[in-house]
Amino acid sequence: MSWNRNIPLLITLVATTTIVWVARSGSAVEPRQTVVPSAFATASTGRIGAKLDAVFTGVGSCAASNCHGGNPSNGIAGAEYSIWVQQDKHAEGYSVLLNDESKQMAKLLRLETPAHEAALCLNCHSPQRFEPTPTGEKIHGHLLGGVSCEACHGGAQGWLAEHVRWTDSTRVEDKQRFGFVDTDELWERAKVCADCHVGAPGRDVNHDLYAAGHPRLFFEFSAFMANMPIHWEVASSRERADWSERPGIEADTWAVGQLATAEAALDLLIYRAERSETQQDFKFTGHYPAGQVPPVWPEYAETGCFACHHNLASPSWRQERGFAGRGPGQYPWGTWTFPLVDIVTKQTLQRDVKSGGHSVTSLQSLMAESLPNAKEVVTRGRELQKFLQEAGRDFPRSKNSAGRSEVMLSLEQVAALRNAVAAAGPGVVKENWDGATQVYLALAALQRGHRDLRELPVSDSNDPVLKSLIDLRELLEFPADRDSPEDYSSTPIQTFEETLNTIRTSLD
Amino acid sequence: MAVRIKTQRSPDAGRIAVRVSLSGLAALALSISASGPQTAVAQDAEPFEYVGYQGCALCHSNEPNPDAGGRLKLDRSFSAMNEGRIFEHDKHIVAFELLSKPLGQKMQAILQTTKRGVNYKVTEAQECLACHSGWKKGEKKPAVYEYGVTCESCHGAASQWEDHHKRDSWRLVSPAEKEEKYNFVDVRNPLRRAEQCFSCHIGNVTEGKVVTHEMYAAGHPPLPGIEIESFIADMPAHWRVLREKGQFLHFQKYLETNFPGMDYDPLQDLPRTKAVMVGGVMALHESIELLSEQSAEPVWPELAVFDCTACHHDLRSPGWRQTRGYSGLIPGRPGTFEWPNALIKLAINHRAGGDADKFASEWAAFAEKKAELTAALNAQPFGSSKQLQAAAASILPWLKSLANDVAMSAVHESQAGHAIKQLLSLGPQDYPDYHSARQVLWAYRTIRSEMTTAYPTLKAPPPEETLKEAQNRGDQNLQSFLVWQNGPQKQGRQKVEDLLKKLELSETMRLNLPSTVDRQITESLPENLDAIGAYDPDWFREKLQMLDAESK
Repeated sequence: MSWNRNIPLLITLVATTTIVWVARSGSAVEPRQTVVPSAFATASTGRIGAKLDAVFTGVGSCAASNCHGGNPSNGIAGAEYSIWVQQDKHAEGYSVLLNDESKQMAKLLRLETPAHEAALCLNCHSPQRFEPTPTGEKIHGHLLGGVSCEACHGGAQGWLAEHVRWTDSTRVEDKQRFGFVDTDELWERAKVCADCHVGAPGRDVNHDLYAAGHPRLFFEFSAFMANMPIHWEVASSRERADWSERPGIEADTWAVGQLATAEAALDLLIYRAERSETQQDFKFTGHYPAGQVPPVWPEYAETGCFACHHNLASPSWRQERGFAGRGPGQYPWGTWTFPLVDIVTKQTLQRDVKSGGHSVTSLQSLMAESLPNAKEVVTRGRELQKFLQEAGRDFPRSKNSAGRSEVMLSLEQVAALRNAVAAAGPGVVKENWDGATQVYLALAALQRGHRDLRELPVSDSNDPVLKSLIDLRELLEFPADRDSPEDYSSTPIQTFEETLNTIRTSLD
Repeated sequence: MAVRIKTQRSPDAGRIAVRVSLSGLAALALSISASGPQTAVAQDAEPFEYVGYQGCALCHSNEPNPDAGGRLKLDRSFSAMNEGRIFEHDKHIVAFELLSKPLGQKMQAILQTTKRGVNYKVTEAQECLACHSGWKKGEKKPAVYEYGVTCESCHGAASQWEDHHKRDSWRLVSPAEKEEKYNFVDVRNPLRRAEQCFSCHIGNVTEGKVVTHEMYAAGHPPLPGIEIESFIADMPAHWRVLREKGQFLHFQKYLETNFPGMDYDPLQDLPRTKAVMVGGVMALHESIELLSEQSAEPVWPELAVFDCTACHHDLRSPGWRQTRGYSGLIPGRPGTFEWPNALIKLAINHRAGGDADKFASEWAAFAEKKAELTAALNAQPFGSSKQLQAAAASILPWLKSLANDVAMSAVHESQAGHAIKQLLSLGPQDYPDYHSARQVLWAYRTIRSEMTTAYPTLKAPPPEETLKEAQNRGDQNLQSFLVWQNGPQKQGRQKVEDLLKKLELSETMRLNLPSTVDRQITESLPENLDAIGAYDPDWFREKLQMLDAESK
């Protein structure tokens, strides 16, 4: 983050202290240390969300007009909050809990409290992760700000005073020890997003919640970043996608996102599988617990949605396609998260995620059973998680202009990834919609990244690849009255394959 | 005289033609054995053995019309002796052949990719033949199994009863003795009949009759909700109910033996209406028993004993499932089939004699037992096995006794009227799913037809009658029945069909089954499945109100 305040240090210090003091006395209850409750204690560590000893001060202090709440027409710097509150969906994170859909969810679940008072919801819909059951009176004012600054940048009490002193040359480690999250770094950033958008211990959108009406979580890092209004500085003003921080970043976020999403998904799987032992002790009292989801196993949110959620039809394209790798009628696990992870690890690290003890394939076999063996899943899951964490750590990085180590794929690396996705595409798309959509998103990100690195405008209707991708997107869209791909079957799949072949011939 | 029995091609048996002389009737042309007792009855004497369809067909393949002259003058006052002829058109008889048709073969190809291996044959596997022929689990494979589902599949392996049932003294044996001593299943009792039909059409773990989710995924058509009387009418039924037979030899004693302690006249009964109500209860009984017994099997959960469309539906938001709510089940948990619950209220109301307070308290007792099942299902996805079995142990005897009470009670026109009224009234929270809606409409069709069509007037016996005269009278009554069946009964049913067609219920709800050997399930499957996907409970509620208005 660049620092170009032009204010004397002393005034800043006083101002900051005043603001913090005002914020603290303004809240109903003293900001409290959240303790890691035993329910959330798992083997997973290093996750952003797991730093529950962070203390949250609320968005009010960031929003001061001479701090981060300035006028956006004067530039991004100093206007981060203003941009965010006006344009970013995260700002509505809390208020959506008061809308009709949330009310219906609470009604169908017979939730113990309304949605906006339930930790079950607030754990993602606010910056803070709670102990299991907060009640209304413990809700702090800062929650009303939605998924605000501290949700991603870390609970601010530790770093609020410090950060006004930081400069471009402040080391990352010196920020992190105050609880500040290094969102500059793509892997860290992706992990922060994935903590809610994929899930984590205590941040579990499970199938019960889906059935009650929660929208499906399908996270793809580069697409989500593309949709998020940028509230941080871009390195230069060269014409490119609005959010593009530096050339080729869409490709970088795609690749990093694949690994980070997979790692987060594993963390959640392990958490769910470990808890399943206590499922026998869960007694449903008629009201869904408002603190956190009960242990549920098998957990259907782990399975591809549309594997089950399709009208029955005859003839069936699924029967024609066959059930490679699992028995007829068994669950396909990880259809969203894993189709292209192998390409990333093979191309950039020459590591294989599909075979060996840690493999995705062995986990898929375990999770295919009508009642997967939870213990085995935990063992295999940990191996795969370790593999992915190491992949994230070892992902090729280079020094940027400021001397920081970042993921910055070269033109050749981006092309290699893109071409590999296009080549693998036909095999992936004939399996299911999830994989096909991942292929689409991958090609979009990688082609745009590729163009960006060649200093071409990232979106161009004359680019044959991008043009074909628009056709693919139409094939993937749901019918108007559905939330599932009713039409995804043999005919569109064939068109998809043909389009992919066209794309392959136009790759440069 | 020779008798030519319908022959079927089968992979192994080739064409079988049996020629029998009159004198050879007493001995059977083929006596095929499959040892192993009927699993339904414990027997420590000789095991019951299958005799084979060809044996039954020798006698039971008379011309329908007695005037056409049979090869043998048989007493047709009790049994019309033409059952084999009728059964030639019945889909049950091609049940085995179907396995060799394209769909069966496609299933085979997919199932060969599983642990079953490349040598797996659907025409040899017990898991298929249990329903598609008569090979129940625990029994030795019958030597002849290519005739599909035939006589002994429902009436019981015949080795012990075959001789006795030919004599008119058989009418004096109690149903219990017939079952226990001779292994003759009392299919005249609507409760036993339902158990037999539902053993395949819903499932039965003990007999090895379970269509698993794996089989469905491999291509097995989904088992539709079954309303027993509708399915029976479409077979078509190869028997007459009591009121259609006229009085036969030993009639009074027969009544006393089969309807003991009855304080009503079974000849005034509406047997089909009764069977709809009894079947409605037994459908739930068998479904819950299936769920409970399957949960005790080593491979659990078995997805197929849960409602297909609970998962298999396109997602919509807002969707009617969310609007309707999940009645006590945690949202997102696999739910049991709804349709077996659709007709319970008829039986409960019948037993309560139409009294509103009694109904309320009986219904509350039922609801309490259902709540135990729901609690078992909520403990974890697919339910906790232990709790499921406990809940089943609590509700199953209650259901059986309800079914029995209805079976042993009078069902006259006023009770049928009550039933119709109940079928057409939906509470504000009632949003039946597709299969439940079909149950309602099928039940309506059966009961309404029976209510509005008088049974045939048949010749009663004079004070004194010789055997020959009795036989002649039996022939005449059979003749009258056939005329009635093709005339008033058909017309009565057609009227109700026309009403349902007018309201677009027939077509949209696919009420007419692809029955008999002439129609293939595979042909109508695409449209049937589309109809399930397109179904809207709000639309059905409206239609039911219209039907109510038209029924007045």
